[in-house]
Amino acid sequence: MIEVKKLVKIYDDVYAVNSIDLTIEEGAFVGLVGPNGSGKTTLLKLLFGFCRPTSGDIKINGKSPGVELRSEISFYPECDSTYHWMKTQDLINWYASFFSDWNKDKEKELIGFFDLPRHRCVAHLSKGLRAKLKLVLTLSRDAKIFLLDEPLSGIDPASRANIISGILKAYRAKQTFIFSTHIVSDAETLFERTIFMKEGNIIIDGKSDALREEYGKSMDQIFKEELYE
Amino acid sequence: MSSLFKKELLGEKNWIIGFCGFVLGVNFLFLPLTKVTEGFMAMMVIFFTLPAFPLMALVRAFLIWKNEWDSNTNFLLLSLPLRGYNIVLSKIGVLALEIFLYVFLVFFIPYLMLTGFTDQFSLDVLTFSKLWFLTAFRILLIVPFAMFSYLFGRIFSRAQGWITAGSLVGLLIIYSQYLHFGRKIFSYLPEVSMRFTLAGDVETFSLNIATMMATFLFCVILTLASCFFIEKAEL
Repeated sequence: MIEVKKLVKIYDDVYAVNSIDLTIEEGAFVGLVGPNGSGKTTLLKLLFGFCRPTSGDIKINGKSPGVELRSEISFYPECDSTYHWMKTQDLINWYASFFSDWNKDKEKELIGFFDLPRHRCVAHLSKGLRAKLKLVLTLSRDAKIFLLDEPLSGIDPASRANIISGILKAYRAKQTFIFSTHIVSDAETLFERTIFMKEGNIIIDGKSDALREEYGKSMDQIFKEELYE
Repeated sequence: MSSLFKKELLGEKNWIIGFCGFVLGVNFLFLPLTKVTEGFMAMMVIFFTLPAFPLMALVRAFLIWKNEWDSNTNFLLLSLPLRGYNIVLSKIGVLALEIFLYVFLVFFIPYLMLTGFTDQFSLDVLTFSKLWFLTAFRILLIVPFAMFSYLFGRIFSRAQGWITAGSLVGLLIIYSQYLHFGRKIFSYLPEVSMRFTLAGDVETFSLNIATMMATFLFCVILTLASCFFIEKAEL
């Protein structure tokens, strides 16, 4: 379970995250949506321990974020974080060697599903293939929590559908997924709970079906109307 | 740790090839003149290739981290479930290998040429090994200074470049103050003296081990601090 209390992160006098309170139960598939600069990436980085809060408290399964939790959480960064001089399979093997929860079957399944060339240098892969490679690195683990930061960003529509199917393939019961995106239309069917963020604040938080019913609109329409008004 | 070290080694292979190529190139250009100049040119090769290398080691120690940050691979590296010392020591290990290899080549080829082509020079293998090890080790002691400064800068979310530069200056001031005290701790250690024959004259020079060991102790503290900072780095 993820518990966040009065979480604040300030960058250069700007509140990237502004006094957020949040509880996410085990096994939830949560969509974290909001425009650029709304604090989604900062919140995910804070949860993983890639940055420290200015104030407030985070507890994940009773522990504070940091090195101890990295064997339980899998993080997908938005930026291209792969070593370009390595070959695809070499990078996967190297990364896998550090994790006791690495699932070789899941790895093979995802490589096949994404049609990832195994013996090509990462530098020679397209942007979409590199995103898929990062997904293989992130999703091939049997981690308890998955933090996916904008996995659809900069990807063409056909590949976006492929990536979403890949994420669904990797999803197992009792695993918690937090999926941040500003491309709501493609991903909204995935989310059982959706958190809308704007200027570091949570402005809407609820079960996706209940929100659709309450607003009488799709998530994408709520996103466009509520966050950009 | 071994797979981390292997990754670092493969990632740095272009630098290693470049450094070795530079030494071999300089030797190739100047050493044919060794016999004509009665060994003078072999000594000159060392002067061309060694004095700037400590500065290069300092730059390399910065770059080995800066490359991770610039290419965003720090997100992958720091997502590994490893304590900071694994990451820091694997990078120091690769730089140590690079430095020891470079210094070996700098000394070894002229050594072969001098002993092979002139009867004016002699240096036994043990003295050669001591010279190689102590020179490389002294250069290696520069690395923790740069690593500490860079990683100290990364624990802040703003003005990281200024903090890195400031901490390096601050560190050098603290080190100069510490050195008087540090030398006293290791004052019981004897000096290491080395003898070689050049142009028929027996030359002897000695090296102060107390200063080197005091610096080593300081570097151990800096490395421990770096291991802590890498776990607290802001990405």
